[in-house]
Amino acid sequence: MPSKHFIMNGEEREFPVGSARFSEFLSSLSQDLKSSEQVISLIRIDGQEISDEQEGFFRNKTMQEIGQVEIFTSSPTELAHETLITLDQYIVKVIETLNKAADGYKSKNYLAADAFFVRAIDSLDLFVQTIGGIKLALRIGLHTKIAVVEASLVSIMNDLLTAKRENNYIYLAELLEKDLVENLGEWKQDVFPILKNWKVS
Amino acid sequence: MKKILIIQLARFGDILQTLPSIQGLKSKYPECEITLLVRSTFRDAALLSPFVDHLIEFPTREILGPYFSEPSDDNKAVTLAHLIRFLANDFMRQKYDLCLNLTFSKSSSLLTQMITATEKRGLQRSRDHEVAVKDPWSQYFLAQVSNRNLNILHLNDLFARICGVEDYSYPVQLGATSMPRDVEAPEAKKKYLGIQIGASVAGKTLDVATWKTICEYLKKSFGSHTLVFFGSSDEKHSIHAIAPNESIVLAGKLRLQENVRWIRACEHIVTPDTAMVHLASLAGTNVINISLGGVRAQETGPYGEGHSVLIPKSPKSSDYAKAIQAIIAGDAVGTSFFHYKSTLRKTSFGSVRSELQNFNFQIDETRNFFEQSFYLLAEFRCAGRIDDLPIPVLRDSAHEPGSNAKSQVDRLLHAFDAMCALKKIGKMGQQFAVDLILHSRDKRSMKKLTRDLEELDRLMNELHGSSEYVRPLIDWVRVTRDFVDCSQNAQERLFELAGAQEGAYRELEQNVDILEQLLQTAVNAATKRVTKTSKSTQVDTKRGLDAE
Repeated sequence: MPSKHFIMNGEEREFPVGSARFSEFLSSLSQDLKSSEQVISLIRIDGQEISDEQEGFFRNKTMQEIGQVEIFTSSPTELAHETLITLDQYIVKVIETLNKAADGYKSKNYLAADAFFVRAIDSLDLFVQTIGGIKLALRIGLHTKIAVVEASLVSIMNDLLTAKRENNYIYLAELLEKDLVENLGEWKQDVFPILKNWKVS
Repeated sequence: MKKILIIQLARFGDILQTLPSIQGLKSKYPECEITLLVRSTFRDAALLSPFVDHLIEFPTREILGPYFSEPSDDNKAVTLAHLIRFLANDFMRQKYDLCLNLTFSKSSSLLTQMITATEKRGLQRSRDHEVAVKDPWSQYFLAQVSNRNLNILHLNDLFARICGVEDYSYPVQLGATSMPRDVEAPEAKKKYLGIQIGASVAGKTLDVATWKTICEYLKKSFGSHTLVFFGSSDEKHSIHAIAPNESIVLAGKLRLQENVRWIRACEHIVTPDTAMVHLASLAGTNVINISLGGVRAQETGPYGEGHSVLIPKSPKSSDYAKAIQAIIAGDAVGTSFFHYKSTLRKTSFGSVRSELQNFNFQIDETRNFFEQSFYLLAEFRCAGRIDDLPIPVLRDSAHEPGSNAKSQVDRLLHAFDAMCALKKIGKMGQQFAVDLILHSRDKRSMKKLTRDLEELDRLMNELHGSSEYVRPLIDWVRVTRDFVDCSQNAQERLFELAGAQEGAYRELEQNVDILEQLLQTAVNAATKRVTKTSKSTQVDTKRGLDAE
């Protein structure tokens, strides 16, 4: 059975079972990385960085069918800190979408507003998931300030859905452009510094 | 909020009704600088507010006078020159944080267009230079007040809502109320009754003979009171013909703002529909408003607690006198008048609003139901809030003596049919508007869709004429759809207009839904009451039989 060469963090390695599927290769690698408290942060195939969706495309292919595989690993803490930097920019984009949705509701162009609203909700969902991941990586349990801002976000999102269900466009616009923007501002100003300076025990 | 410009180019009454909002703005934003633009002729009303930092006068006579007196080319040039000079005024070049145009005339939107402001409310011009209204309360004004639809919101309260200061506007403080030295001052120990007989047009006031009867009757009934006559110098002649001995005639002696001290000294002010109604309300004096000529007292009647509005049915001269005497004495007014009393009602979101309540007659319940429902709808649509108002019960008035139950039920059913038709129009309108966007490149489809939308408009026009109870819904659609802030770019414009159409029809469908729910609640409450009444009647009948 031919083995398969791959590169991990710049060093050439060998995976013994060339006929194994790409998904099996990744699980086996993740298992090995656990002991060193590392996780896979980036995968390149033939020099091209692959996204989560592309990863799905390769999962059932055998290692022999795939070109050159490069793996980069980081510690969850490093990954969390890198993610926090990108979240700063992400929040700016989310706020843009929130304002566009609010403008649509205020000008009664509900078609446009609804489209931005859906995008805003998806973005917020991803934001919440990412924050959950960061907290897990940094092993943050209960932190009062973070809990308060989190609870406020959950409460605003509940109000948002109620307002949408009741077709209360004025309140919806207010929640989007005032309450949510204010809450995201609190994440940036108050919570992110806490997360950035968090030391994993 | 630092710099605020308010444009109020209407007359005395409208300026006086704007004063509570000006106070509200200063109270909400204590650091702000308020500039008020009014027509020169009506500046005295503006002087009453101590919260105006800069008063700018629009010299209507100077600008338009020459051309109106003789519409020649030369005078046109003079008018234009005056206008340009006015527009070069310093206040026009300032940058404002908020510009509030409370003049609902289309020409005022041109002025708003030339102002630089971060936010504009009221009539303005869109990016394609057409008239546009962006804020919901101004849309409400244009749809309901300008079209004389069912509306129970007083203009003071509506202006405050447009300015976003309904929580800050009352009680009102007045400034600049000093009087000229040559006019006698009221005496603290004396009792006064104020009377204003003049109005802007003859149809708004009573004839001199009726006023004479009123004055004689009041003098006889309230001998300890001195009658005080307010008004302009034009009214002096008529006043001297009717004023009893020892009356005080102030007409022509005081400017508008100088009347306040005397108004406050009066226990009551009897007045037709004039600026005096608003001035006395602001000064806190009880108003007895004789409302003639189709003025909508709900919107522009006296504001506050305990004022009276008398709408005559077909009274004799002496009936007016008796009615006024009854109000002053705290007695019931006869059946020659519809007597309304004003009251300040606390809303469930904290502010107060003035409301007229029927005092000596049975209210038309169908009309009342729709008036109250449209108010609830307005608060929801324009402010996203729900006032905790008891939904009026539609009673089974068939058992009441002299009831017009059949016509009430007929009108209700007619309105309900129209609402069902409007709901369908709403659904179809949304679909057509979405199709307009989807087929924007297909000329044939576009032509057909435009025809379909025109057909919907024709159907709405028919319904508009058929029931006053659905008119507010239709005018709301028209304002939302037709006064849109549109781009000049053809493609963007198409999408914006189609989006606005979809929005207008979507709201129509939802508004009908809300009205249907309110109607259902009202009918359920009525049914419950009817069932209760018929049950108790049965029991009573049984008792009666047992006794026999």
